[in-house]
Amino acid sequence: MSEANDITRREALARTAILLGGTLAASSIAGAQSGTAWLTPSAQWRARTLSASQLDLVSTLAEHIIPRTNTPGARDAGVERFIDAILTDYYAAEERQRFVTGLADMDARAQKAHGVAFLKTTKAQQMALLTALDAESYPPQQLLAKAEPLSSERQRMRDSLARQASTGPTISDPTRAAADAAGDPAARRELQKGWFFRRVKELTLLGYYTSEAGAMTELKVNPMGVYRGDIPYRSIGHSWA
Amino acid sequence: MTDKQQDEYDAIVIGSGISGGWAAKELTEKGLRTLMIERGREVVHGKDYVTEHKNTWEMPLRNARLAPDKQGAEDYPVQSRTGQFREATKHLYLRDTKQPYEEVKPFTWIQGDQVGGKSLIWGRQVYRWSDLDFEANLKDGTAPDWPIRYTDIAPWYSYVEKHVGVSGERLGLPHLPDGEFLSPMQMNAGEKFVKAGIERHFNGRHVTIGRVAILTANHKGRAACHYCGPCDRGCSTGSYFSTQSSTLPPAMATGRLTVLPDSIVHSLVYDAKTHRVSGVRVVSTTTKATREYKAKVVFLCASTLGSARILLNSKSSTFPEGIANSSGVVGHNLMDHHFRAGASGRIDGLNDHYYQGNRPNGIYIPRFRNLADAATKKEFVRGFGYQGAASREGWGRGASAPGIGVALKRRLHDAGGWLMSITGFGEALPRHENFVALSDKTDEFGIPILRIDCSWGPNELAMRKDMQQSAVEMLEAAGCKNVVGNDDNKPGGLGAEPGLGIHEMGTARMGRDPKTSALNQWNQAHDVPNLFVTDGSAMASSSCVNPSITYMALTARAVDHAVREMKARNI
Repeated sequence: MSEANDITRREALARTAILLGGTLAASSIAGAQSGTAWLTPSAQWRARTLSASQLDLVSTLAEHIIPRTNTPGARDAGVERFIDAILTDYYAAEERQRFVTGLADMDARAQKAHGVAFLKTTKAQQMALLTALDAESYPPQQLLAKAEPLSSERQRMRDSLARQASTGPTISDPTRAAADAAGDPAARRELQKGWFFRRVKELTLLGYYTSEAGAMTELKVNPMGVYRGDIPYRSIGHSWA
Repeated sequence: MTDKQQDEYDAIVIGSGISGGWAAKELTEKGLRTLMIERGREVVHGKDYVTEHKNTWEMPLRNARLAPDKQGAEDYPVQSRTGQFREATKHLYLRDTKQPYEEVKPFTWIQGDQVGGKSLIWGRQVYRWSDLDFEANLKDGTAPDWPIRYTDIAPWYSYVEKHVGVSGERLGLPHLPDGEFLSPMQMNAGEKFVKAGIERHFNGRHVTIGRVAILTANHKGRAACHYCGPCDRGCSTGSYFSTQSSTLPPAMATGRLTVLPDSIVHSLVYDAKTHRVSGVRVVSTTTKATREYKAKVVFLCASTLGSARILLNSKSSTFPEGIANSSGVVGHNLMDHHFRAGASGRIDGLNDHYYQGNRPNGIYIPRFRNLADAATKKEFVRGFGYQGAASREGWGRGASAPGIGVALKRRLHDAGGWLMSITGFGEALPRHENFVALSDKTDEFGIPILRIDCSWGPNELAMRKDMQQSAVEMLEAAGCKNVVGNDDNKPGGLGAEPGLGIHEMGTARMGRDPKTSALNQWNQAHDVPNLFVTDGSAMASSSCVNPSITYMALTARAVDHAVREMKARNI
């Protein structure tokens, strides 16, 4: 594979900008190059569903799921803001309420184990609580794939390739899942058990890896420019965002 | 110019999608002053592709799929049923509350509502039909024979393909004829693995890269694809075929085209003295004022269901059941491709292989059932092909299994394993009992809405079993692991209901006999010589391959005929 064929995102963007007669905003190119736009605070931003303490809790949960390492973590990426937007502008009222109730349950769990609210426990205690919750939140794959099909990669593929259209991030559809599993009470109980934590994790991953920090610093967006169908994995060395 | 002169044209084209764009291009290039009427808003090439190349983080919901029960889909209860309806594409779909319809049985009518119609959001897969398709009605006796054969349309396929720019691989198959191809797109390692396995185990089956109306080389002033991925947000470089990129520019260049957006056609006006359509009644969707436009010839390209609605609503004493409907077939024989039955599986290994760039295309497995030889015969008639793709799992896999923290982040940094998925696209039979009619209710413009009554029949249901079984069989034989079949059809419910394939056809079919068909071999109404219908409604059967390139070829052919007839003063 010749290096000359290797087109970086920056080159691709610049090239496309030329193709488009320069209509691609310079800020897009600058943003893609710098990879630091995620640090810019937005003073105007206000949560619309979550209270300040709930927002803090969501942010803490998300950071435990995707922590800062040598690359940004969920909090750096503002995942809690994305989750507030999903709760406010996307989830149906019933799901939104269920999610907020799930947050209260986190505090109840911490109370039971340590006598204080979740955010008052130590980092190690928080991680232990979440590790236990994570372990009990995933029913067998077959059941999960059937009830929450959109969170399954195969269904995601099927949806997108069935029309050869854009592949994009998909948020699962818990309301419909509950209806689907309604015929089998045991399955429904199984699915209800981990519902909240699965949503927190799913929204954290979605919010993180579709953010500029996740998609450009931790990973890289699959660049436009050329299509190379079969190249050595080591020449890329990471997953596309 | 007086108002009267302004309202008179040589030709009127109703609709600006794939067929309407072609009609406008051909008519204007042949010297006719043409009016193109479009129900929806203006969409200017480039400028109005407002989500093109937008990064996910620039969208508040990160380009979420807007499913029916989600906020943001309230005014789109039907459009939101397709997975293509997302934050980044919502503005290119019809707001259902503007044009409702009655659904007797589940039928998902996906519609564009803009200049360019669905050509901006189509799947771009293009396959020529063959005599296996054009002879199908005659051979199994399901419905009246097509009035044309492959030799009639083959030169017109070449004609439109040379303009469109079609990328694909030549296979030399009689039942999937090769076209005028630009170089094919590449397969990835997973697809090459599956291709090798299937072709090794099944004599006569092929896995090829999809044939698409997307440029793999610069072509007629349009740039080669830059592989950004989501074509259906619009493409400023014109790298896929749309009205805006490909048919509107040459039509406008003639100086003879007038485009009239925001104008919905109420009906066609019939002149009983001349036995001709004399005009088109139009309602402005902004002011609700009505106006009549006149022309010597009318091309109806308003989509399969849109055109049927206009024909049925064009009532006169000569045509009490709608214009060009002395046969009574208008609105009947509604078809779509049935899909979402197939299989998926893992491919172990190939971990040192990856891909770069966002290929807006997949693989195709041509039909292998009910071909000429007895060995391919099945208990159902007609056949199906598969579309599919392989890819490596991304970060999304982290959401369906336990794991958190640094270990999860490290794991998701690497690409996951390979998955291969294929889904069948099956031919549906033309059946009289699948039909649309005018409802008693009207829309806000005073036009009766449609009542759609359509469902899959025994042949489609039998075929779906084979679509799933054969998919599982092929992926397993190819060496995929953990292969799972699927069939999303839920009789009486949503999942793989008619309409979802967005390949509606058949509501004003072509045929040899005016008693059993609405159009002749030139897409010309048997009853009304200056009326041509060249969208999906003209199809007498549905084949199993994507239909749009056939609409294009039939449209160019029909215009050629119409203009010759006009010169000969027969129209």
